[in-house]
Amino acid sequence: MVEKLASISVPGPTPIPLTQEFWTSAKNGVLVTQICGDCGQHVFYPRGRCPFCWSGDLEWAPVSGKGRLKSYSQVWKPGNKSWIPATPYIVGLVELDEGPKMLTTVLCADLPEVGDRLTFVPFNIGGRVLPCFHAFTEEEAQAMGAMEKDGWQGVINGKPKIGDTVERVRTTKLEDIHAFTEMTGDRNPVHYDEELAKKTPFGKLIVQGGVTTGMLNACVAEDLPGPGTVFLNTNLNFLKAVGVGEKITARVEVETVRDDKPICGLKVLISDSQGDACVEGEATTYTMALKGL
Amino acid sequence: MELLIEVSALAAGDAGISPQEIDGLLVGPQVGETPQHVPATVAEYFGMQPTMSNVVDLGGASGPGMIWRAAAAIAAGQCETVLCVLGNHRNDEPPFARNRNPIREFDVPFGASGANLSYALIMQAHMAAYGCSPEDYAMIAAGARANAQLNPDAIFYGKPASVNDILASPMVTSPLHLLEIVMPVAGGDAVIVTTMKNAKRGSHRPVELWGAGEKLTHRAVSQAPSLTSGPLKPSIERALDQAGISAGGIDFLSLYDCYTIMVAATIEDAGLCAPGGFADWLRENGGMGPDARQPVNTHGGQLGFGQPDLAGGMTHVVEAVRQLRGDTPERQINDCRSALITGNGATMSEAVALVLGVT
Repeated sequence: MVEKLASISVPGPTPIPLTQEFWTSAKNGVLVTQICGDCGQHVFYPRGRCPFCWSGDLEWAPVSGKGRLKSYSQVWKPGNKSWIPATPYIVGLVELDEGPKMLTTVLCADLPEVGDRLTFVPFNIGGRVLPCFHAFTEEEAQAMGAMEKDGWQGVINGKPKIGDTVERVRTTKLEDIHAFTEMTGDRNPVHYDEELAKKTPFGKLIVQGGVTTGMLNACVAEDLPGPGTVFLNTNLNFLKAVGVGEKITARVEVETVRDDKPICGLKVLISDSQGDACVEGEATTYTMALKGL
Repeated sequence: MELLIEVSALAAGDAGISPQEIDGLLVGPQVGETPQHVPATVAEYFGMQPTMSNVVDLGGASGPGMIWRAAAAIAAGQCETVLCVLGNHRNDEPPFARNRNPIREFDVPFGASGANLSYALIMQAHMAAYGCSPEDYAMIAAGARANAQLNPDAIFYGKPASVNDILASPMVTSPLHLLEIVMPVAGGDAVIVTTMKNAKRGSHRPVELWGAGEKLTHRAVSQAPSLTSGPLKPSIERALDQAGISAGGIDFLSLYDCYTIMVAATIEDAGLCAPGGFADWLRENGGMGPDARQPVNTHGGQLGFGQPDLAGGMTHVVEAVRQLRGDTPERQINDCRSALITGNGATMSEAVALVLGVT
């Protein structure tokens, strides 16, 4: 079943330097094969020399991504058991218009027929984007592409990039403590009894941790990944307490981005005006598509 | 190794040849056991010091491939009597193959693993090209099962299966049903090839090698030049040509049958009928049994007898030798004087054909 292909855990390709270009290009949406500079034949799978004339003059070239289904099988009992969750799925032998033949997973609504026209589509199988082929009409393909290729479709700020960073700066106030108490009932004396607080290791009146980390909520919801974002997970270490009237900086950096779903892994940091880290950790976010709602 | 020496001793005893007379050794790959120095390992275990030895690595065509190599080595004067031996046990866990070949890189990531899928693609292409029905192919499995009822050594002896039974078995990978696929079994077989002079000393009518043909075309099914006709076609042509006999003139067809489609394609590649015509040919042939016009796989074939891995291909040689000698009273073909044997390996990619006969 096409819907299960992304989530199965199956053996992936085993590229070597000679073959890497095929996989990388396909992942980036371009199907390439080698082409022989001497005899002009398209060559697949990639080789060190042309199997037609043994010339070493092989170069990568994009192909049309169009082909014909030579044969197929609907697999109910796969040889490799890790494919069982995706059964029944279809493996096809496609002959590209340029000549080379390749095995592929065929995406289609109903059983295909031998001779069907197929189109290349980069598709997530087991968390890897592989060169698959589909037998859909143009409209079906677009719907499929929107669903599978870009999990960030409809997200207001779009898909973030790894390394994207945002900062928010704010100075804490005494009212923050009262507001947080109002919200949560947290009336810890270290936030209210200045004399007492001075005798603790903090040496001063401090704001609640939530006042500090709330800055991270603002970062992800307002800026990166932006509106529609909620936390799926946070893992925070509280390293240094923050007092009243201190200028703090919250920083969020994108570490991972999923293609198939609007999910990010973030590195988060809150530091004070001396540059010391007060809160440090990781977070995972999910960003809802709000466009058009 | 115990299995290999067991069947070798049986073959030598049957041939009336002493172990000391054997000076040639052909063995198959010993997957998971002995990756290198295979002939030396087997020869040492067997107490042999052969003057010609090798591994024949042609999948299901290894057995037949050994026979002509043995004859060629004898003709070249390098040895006089060659032991050709294959065997397979059934481990609980199949040995893990650390493949790093094009199939592993370019086919496996798309959910293509194992031989079943390759032959399913071959069968689907054949169906699409010629419009044959599932019943047509199932007839081959049913015929093999019927023949197995005449062979007490067959795994499916006492277990016949009709065309309906075959089609009612679970779909493994379309269009292949479970009962159209061979049953893996443990087993071994050995054949001794020697000079006519030596053969005449034995207690049996000598069986002669009249012709042989071999061809490899590819490894991965995706690289097959054709899905509906394989390298057996030129191999059979060469073997028949050397033997000076036509396919229609052969008394016994011992055809490699890992899947039903393989027999269908072989009947057509042998030129017994036009492409796509195998089912009509089978009906006109009167089925596959010993009384058919040209009996097919009287031991039950691998579909009825079981497939002891690489040794499965050699069962077709062994049955042909028995039929030609007149050694199979329970299923003997009347006046059987010539046999066509086929071996097939990988994805209809490694092919060997032999013509054996008696004069």
